[in-house]
Amino acid sequence: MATRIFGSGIRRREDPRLLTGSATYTDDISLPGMLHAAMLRSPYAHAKITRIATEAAQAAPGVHAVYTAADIEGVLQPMPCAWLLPDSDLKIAPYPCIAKDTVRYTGDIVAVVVAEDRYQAYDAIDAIEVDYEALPTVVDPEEATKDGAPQLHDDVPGNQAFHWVVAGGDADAAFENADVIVEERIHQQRLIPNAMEPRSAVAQYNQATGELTLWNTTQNPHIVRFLCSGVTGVPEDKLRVIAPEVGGGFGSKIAVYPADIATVFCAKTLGRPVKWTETRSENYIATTHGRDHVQHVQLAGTKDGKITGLRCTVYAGMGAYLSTAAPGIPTILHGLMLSGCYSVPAVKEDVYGVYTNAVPVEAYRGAGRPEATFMLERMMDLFAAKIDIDPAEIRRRNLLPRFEDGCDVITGLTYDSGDYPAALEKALNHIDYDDLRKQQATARDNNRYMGIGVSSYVEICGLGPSQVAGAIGFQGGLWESSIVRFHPTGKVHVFIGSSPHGQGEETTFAQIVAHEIGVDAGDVKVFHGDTDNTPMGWGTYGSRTTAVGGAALALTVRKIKDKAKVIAAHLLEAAAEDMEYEDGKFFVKGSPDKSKTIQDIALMAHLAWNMPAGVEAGLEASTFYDPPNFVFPYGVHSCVVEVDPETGQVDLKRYVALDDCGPQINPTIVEGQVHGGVVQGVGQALWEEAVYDDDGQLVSGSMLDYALPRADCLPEIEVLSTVTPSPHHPLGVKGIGEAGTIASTVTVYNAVLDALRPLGVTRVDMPFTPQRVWQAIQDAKGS
Amino acid sequence: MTVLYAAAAVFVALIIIAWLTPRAAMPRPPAESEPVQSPPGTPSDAAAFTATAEPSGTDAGAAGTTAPSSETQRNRTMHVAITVNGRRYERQVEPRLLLVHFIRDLGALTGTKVGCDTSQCGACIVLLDGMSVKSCTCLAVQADGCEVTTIEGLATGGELHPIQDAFWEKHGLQCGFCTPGMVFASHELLTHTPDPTDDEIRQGLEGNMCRCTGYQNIVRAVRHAADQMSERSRE
Repeated sequence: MATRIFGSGIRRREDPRLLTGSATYTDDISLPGMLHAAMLRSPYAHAKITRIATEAAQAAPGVHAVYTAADIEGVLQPMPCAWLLPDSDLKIAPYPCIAKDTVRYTGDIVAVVVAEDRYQAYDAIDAIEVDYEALPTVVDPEEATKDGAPQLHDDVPGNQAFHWVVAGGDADAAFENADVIVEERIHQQRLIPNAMEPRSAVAQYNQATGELTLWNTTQNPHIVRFLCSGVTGVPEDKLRVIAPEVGGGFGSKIAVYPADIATVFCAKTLGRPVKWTETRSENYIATTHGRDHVQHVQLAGTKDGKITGLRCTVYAGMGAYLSTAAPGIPTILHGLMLSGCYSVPAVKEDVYGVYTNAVPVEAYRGAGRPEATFMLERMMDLFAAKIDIDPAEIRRRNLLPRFEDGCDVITGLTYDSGDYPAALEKALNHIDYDDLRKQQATARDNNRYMGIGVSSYVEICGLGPSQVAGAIGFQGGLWESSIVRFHPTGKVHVFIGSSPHGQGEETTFAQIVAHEIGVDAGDVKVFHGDTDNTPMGWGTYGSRTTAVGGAALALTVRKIKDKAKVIAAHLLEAAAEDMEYEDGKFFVKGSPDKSKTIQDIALMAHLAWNMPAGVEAGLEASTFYDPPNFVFPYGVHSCVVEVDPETGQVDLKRYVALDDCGPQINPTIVEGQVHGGVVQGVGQALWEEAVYDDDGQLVSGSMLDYALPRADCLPEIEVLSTVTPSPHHPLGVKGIGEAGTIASTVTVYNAVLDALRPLGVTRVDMPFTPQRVWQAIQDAKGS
Repeated sequence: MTVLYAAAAVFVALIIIAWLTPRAAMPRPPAESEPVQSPPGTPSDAAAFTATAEPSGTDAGAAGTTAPSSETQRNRTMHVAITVNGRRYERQVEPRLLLVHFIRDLGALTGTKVGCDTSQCGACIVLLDGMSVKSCTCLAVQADGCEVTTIEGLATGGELHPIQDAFWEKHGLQCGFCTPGMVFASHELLTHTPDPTDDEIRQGLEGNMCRCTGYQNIVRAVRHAADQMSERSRE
């Protein structure tokens, strides 16, 4: 091959259809006789429903049906929570598809209307009369645990959904013997994921066969089939879930949602196809949010800058109900990563999952890991300030040394491979850290407030060994699968259980096949997202598709290669063990001029005129790959900001992201993932917040009010990498989907606080709106 | 007090807009800084009834429509003739029907996306008589007699437009949902500023949201498109 396909930033195969409007997203689907559903959602965050009158809505033009809780009683099971965290006193409050007597967040479904078109459905929604008796509300997770706080669910005292503990070493002793202790209260504000495609469902029921097809904006169609079958009673073999083109997810398209189930119910009940698509404002009050932690953190250390212990208590807002995977996010994906890249001898963390009158929380890009990295990296800066050493230096003194094949850490995990010191030095050199510190000193002399942030991170990805999944209460396996089918002309179809939705695996997976067996990447078509024609898979989230699904694919291609070798040997009248393979050709050792291409072999395998004894016709294989361990991508991010003390405006001037995801299959795609991830993390630091008022009303309830990053607010991100293969992965790859988001929020946070240090400001709650920063400066002046 | 009055005025304006438009998508006027032109014409009757688009007697298209409305509602529809990608569509529409829904309900033209309901995201941008317009903030009746170009109509003769090709070349898209709008916002920018700086590109795209790319490769794509287009015009 002229160019190496593995590691080549080739153009994506997905793009032509996306660029010309010929891709089909869920809301683009139109079926004969299709009706449209709309949801009446509670305007109250907590209230009793005392009366619902639907007669006027039922009589409205075009309306086919209006459903309330009474209609689903005994027909639909409650919405499932599928992460049953063990040893945590987990209390799963019933989550009905349509609220019966009580609503618990603004967005709870109260009634469903089905009409001829969407305008009529929305008109009819307005004709439904509901009497509510308002109840007291609570939205702050820490407040919700206090005596006298409003109670959301009858059998959940103190609104405590769970209490989970992770501990290693003797943290209390570390604090007793510490030279230095630093403490901080950190608010990880609620965020709204904002995948650009609103959520949607189209359901079609065939009464004659009992088969139901659901097109759904989901990151994991097989999980939707599994859970939807349980909720609706449609047998799994008669339920087909299709994730067509999906316009981003970021965690918000993992859950199985009430509105999706309601759409299935309507289609099945009415015998007509039904579509439901949320509006953006509806997305804000009904599609899962992310983060929402109140963290109390303590770090113990020596006076020469070594960490000796970490202790923290986290109140994690869960919203009104537990979403599908919610309990695992502030616990397993957060607490186990507490010690980050550092050698930490003792940790203890208590995590309280708390019900609040807000939208249920789910995974949001990074999912638990940005919150863990934030705590640790913020404490490192506070520690450095306390003992007056440089933030980069304190990291140097604590980083784990290079390891190539496993490093046990205090939380019980074994990291796979890493060279954290090398990553730190490379990033610092690139940004010219020492010179920046000099520039900063000069700027301060001139009353300019420049700040520098630097953060290391390591994340847990490639979820994960299924045995571990079982031990941590995840109600599924976490393996991935693939089927590879060669056609007679040597063209290849690949069927995967993963469900990419913008990440470009149709391209990178074709590159894996091309790399492994020497076909042209353009000859490989990747199928995904349809439960009827792809093997089971557990979904695309947690940076696991390439890490787990990619391994499943590589191993399948290797099985085909083994079979091809046997066939080639037979055709060349040689022994299989004498065969060699190079660049798509099989030949007898020492005679490369006499060879069979994989295309020749594919044809012969299909004709089957002359197969070796005992070898089946065809050229096809499959693999169910269950990883032996997680993978642990890591990196170092650094940035420069300047704060205007007169206005509180933060100007992000430079951003450097160094990420190590192992060998890169397609560096262009890797870089794109880093860009997007970094900007989402920067968004949390500078602009984004789901703001609830005391009555549980979402004040930032539309795209007008929720400040998403825009093109003109950002500098060019400088992307670097190092390459440390994972020792246990067939391709060495680790995953890059979330990396950018893990460290970027705290990197910017630390930079802003670094800038404000001469002004005496030590903490500001995110996001850094000019008003907040200005106020913090005024408060510091006052004190 | 001034702040309170301003807030009250905005509130009242929003209520009026909300009343004038369906709940399914509540468009707000674009911010002044956004590079999106006001649509031509004004709605003569924006009162809300049903939004069914019905083929009229002279309809040349075979696009799908929703079921017939009652006689009363039919009387409240208006006749429009809108040319989309060179093909003329005549329909009886409700006055409140948004242009984006008119286009998406024609049958096969679903490339134009709806990403928000407040005219922020720009996924719905089309060219209306050559100008980029957020089609969720424009009524179908306002586009009567106009020519619309959607993303399906941008490539000609089976060849991608240089902007589309540049987005492909520079990895300026991931999930693709914002892409049609981004392509048209870039088109508008390059029409007026054929050789933009990176800052001008970022300013020019600030009315469009993307959650996947962090915008960086979109900026590169627009830069690349500008270079390609100027090279072509020199040839």
